[in-house]
Parts: sequence; C-alpha cells; structure tokens
Amino acid sequence: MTRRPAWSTVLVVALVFVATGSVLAEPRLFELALKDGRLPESQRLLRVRQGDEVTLKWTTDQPFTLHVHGYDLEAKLVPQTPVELRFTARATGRFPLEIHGPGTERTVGHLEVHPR
Amino acid sequence: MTLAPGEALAHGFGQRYDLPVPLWLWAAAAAAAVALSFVIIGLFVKASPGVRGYWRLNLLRFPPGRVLADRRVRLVARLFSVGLLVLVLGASITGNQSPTRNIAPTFIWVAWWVGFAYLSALVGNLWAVVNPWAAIFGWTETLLGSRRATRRYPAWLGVWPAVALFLAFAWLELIYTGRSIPAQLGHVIIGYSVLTWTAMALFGRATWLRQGDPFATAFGVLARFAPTEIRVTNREACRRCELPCAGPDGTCLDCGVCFDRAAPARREWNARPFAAGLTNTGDVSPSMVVFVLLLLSTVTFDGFTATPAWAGLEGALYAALAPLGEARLTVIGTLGLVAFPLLFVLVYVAFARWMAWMGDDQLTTGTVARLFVLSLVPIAIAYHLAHYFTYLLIQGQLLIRLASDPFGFGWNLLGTARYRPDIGIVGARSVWYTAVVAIVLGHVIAVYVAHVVALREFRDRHAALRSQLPMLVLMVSYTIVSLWIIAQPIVESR
Repeated sequence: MTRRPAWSTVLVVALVFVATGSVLAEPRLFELALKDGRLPESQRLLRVRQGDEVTLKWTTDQPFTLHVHGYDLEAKLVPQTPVELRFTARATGRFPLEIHGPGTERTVGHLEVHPR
Repeated sequence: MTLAPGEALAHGFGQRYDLPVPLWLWAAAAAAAVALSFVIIGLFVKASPGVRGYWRLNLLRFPPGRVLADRRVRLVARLFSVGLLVLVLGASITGNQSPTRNIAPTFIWVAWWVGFAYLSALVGNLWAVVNPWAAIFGWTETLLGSRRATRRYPAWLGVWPAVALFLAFAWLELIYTGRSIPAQLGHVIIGYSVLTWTAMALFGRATWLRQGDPFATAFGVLARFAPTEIRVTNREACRRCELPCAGPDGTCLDCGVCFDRAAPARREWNARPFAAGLTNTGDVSPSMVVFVLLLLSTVTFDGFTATPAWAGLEGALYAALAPLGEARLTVIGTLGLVAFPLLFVLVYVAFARWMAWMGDDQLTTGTVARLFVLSLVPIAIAYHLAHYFTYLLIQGQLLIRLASDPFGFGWNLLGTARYRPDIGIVGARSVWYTAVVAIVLGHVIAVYVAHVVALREFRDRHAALRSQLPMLVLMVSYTIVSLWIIAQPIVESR
C-alpha cells in the first residue's frame, strides 16, 4: 500500500512532462528560395522537433515538382508564385527534399525531425 | 539519374530515414562494450562456462515440431517459393519499370536480401529449405532420373567461387546504378539461374550449394548464430556423405543430404542457444575465413558510404580522377568495395598472428584465423539488425501495396493498392536504443564465443586466456567502428 503514492507521483510527473511536451510544439516557418534548383548552404538542413507545426514557404526561379520524402508531400513550384506546404511533423527521421524537373532529379536538402 | 559527389550511395534500393545516434549514447554504448568485455573475462578466469558442448532440445519429439518438419510442409514452402521467383522474374521483365511500382526491387532488396538475413540469424537456415533454384533443380533430377555429377569438385577451390560471386553481388547491391531498375534485376536473375544450374549439373547440387553458391553460403554463415540446427546422429552415414559434413564427434550438423537420407530415428531438429553454432569451427577452410570477412566488410562498407568521412574521400578522388568522366563514381565505389575486404583480411591476419604468439605458438596463425573468424559474426549480425531496422519496417510496407499490383499495371487484387506506408511506425528514440543495445549485446556474445573456442583449443588455460587479449582489442575496435557509423551525421547533398 505504501507504494501507491510513489506510483501516482510518477504518473503525475509523466503527465506533466507529456503535457509540456505538447505545449512546446512550436510553429516553424522556413522561407526557402530555390535558385537554379539549389538552396543556399544554410538552408540545406532544416531541423524541427516532433510535433512541430512546420510551414515550408517555397519560391523558385524555375518550374519544378517538389517532393518531401517519407511524408510524401508534393507541390508544383513555378516562378513568382510562393507555395506553402504545411504539416505536423509527427514522425521522426531524416527526410530528403527532392526536386523533379525536365532532366533533373536532385536532393536539395533534408528535413530532420528530432524526437522530443 | 546521375549521381553527384557527396550524394550517398544508397544501399540496394529505397531511402533510409534514420537519424544519427546522439553522441552521448554512442559514448555510453562504447563504454558499456568495454566494461562488459571485462566482466566476461572475469567470468572465464574463475570458471569455464559452456565449454563442453551446448544445450540441445530435439523439436521432433513434439507433435508441432514433427508437423513443421514434415516433407509435405516443406514441399508446400518450396512450391510457394518457386511461385514467388516466377512472379518476381515475370514482373521484373514485363512489368512497369518504375522501381517503386514494380514488386521486383522491393522484394529482392528489402524482403529477400535484408529480410532473409534477419530470418537466417534469428530463426534458422530457412534458405536451405525454400531455395527455389535448388528445388527446381531437384525436381528436374527426379523427373529425368538422378545423374551423377559429371565432374569432381576440386578440393583446392574451397568456397572461392562463393567468395567471387558474393563480391559480384555486393557490387550490384552497393555500386551498380541499375540496381533498382526492374528489367536489370530480371537479367541478373536469369544470369544467376543459368550459372547456378550449370554448376549444379557439373558438380552436383549439394556440393555446389555448400561450396559455390554465394547465398546458401552467406545465409548458412548467419544461420550458425540461429537458435535451431539440423543434426544426424548416424555416424556411419555421416562418414560416407559426399560432403565434408561430419563433425568432431562423427555426427553431422546442418547437412541436408544426410538429413534426408537418415532414418527418422537418427534425425534431430534441435533448439540450441543463440550463437552456439558459431563454436562449430571444424569445417572452416581458409577460403571460408575470407568469405566471412567479405560478408562482414561489405556490411560495414555499406554503412561507411553514408558517412562524411567517405564523402570527403570520394570528393578528393572525384577531382583526381577527372579524366574518367561519367564513370568516376562507379570506379571510386568499386575501389572502396575491393579495398574494404582486403583491409579486413590484413587486419584479421595480423591479429591472428598476435593471438597465436600470445598463446605461446601452440597453434599456428592459420589455425587461429580459422578458429576465431566465426566469433566475429555476432557483431556483424547486430550491426546489420541496427542498420536495417527502420529500413525493413518502412520500406517493407511497400510490399502491402505491391502485393495488390505486382506488375505496376494498376491492378488492385487484394484491395491494398492504395496503402500508404506509415513512416511513424517506430520513433527515432526506440530505433537508437534498439540499435545500441543490439550492438553491445552482439559484442558480448562475440567475446563469449571466442573464449569458449579458445578454452577448447589451447592446451593450457593460461595460453587460452592470454590469446583472448588481442581478440578483445579487435572486437572492441570493430564494435566501436560499427557504433561510430550509426552515430555519424549522414552526408549532406550538394
């Protein structure tokens, strides 16, 4: 019987932990400008945490089809029209961002979703 | 599709979505491997656990075991396996040529190659039961009347044909750019079939499977770790077998030929402790040492090609080899694939020399090399499990979709054609802990196996234990390199 308080403390602490975890889920906005099918060096690795609301706002100087691996999101990119991809980063991992165009197929960067 | 330098050579086919293991976990695992090694040494200094044979339980004594081992059950499994081969070959040649819409690339690289390695190591040598090429050849022999092999397999050849063919296969898996194109895989299957059946006709089916076939040999090595074995206790039959299968006590292990011939009362299908089979070192020839090291080194090479260290090396060579043009990446990859096994063999032989010397030269370097090579297998299996864990769980899900539309013609046979793989099936944290625990556990088992073999083979206890110091240095290094690879940030695209 003396164990019960200890277990309930653990449970409460765990619940608080989980609750703060979900409160900490942040909106994350990345403004990504493709130039000649490439991203600037500093934008080739996007790091977010599991549960974050991620927005990838794309602009480009050439038409491409963009593909986020794993999450399997696709978007048609054309010059002068920003495109927003919005999703919740629910699965952890390291996912390539790939562009397909006439005669091109390349990875322009990676999205890393780290566990909380 | 052309590859740019720095773009990782992805294994076989499909993406891996792993995050690198964090530094602190890597350090903790490495420290645990070292500390646990000393615990095992302490254990052996005080006593000699498990040196005399190992625990066995004959599953044929129980009705479920008898049903599973029944001839008819095995026949059904073989028919299913031959059916799959026909399906995959048919789809690869005539189906949609997109790698993810045709069943062939996913089936071959994910389900068969990675999946069967898991099954062989964790369940038993199932490939020996369901190998469709062996089944088709066997049925043809039965139909046409069994002929004697036309040629004697030269003893000096050892398992060298398996070594050469495995290297060729590893090249297809890790270097060849057409590895995910269905039709190319179809051509490889046809080529392999012609070669296998010709060699079986020349040297006999069982001999070729034991000495020349790369997959029977590779899955056989991994299955020595598995908790099951087949055994025949008829010494006379084992001695007369055309294969060198008789063990030191006259009984034979994992020999399908003897098993089929033996009277039912002489057959055993045993459960045994994990890794116990790795202490059976009687049939390890010099060529087998090279085969095992080749198997280990290609697994390590696969992981290494995704590290920044390899990207740096590749980048430097890419510039230096400018005259070769387009073929540069293939050339660099091929050089790496050949250099890795050579490096493994050199390092291993040097350590074998050191071990022999520490053991008062009671055993020659060659003998030491043959006795201890199998004890490295648990580390390789653990690294393999860690490396492909999420790959198998995520890419494997494609099969649910492909089962409904194997040719990529837009069918929906089972109603699963629109299934989307769940990438959240396992979180990064569970993957990290699974990987690290597997590798540390593999290391502990490896150190244990090597000690058991040493105490059995050296004349005195002190020499045996001393010989294990170099082995321990080798194993700790191998384990730390394996951990280091899974902790590396995967190379960036340019």
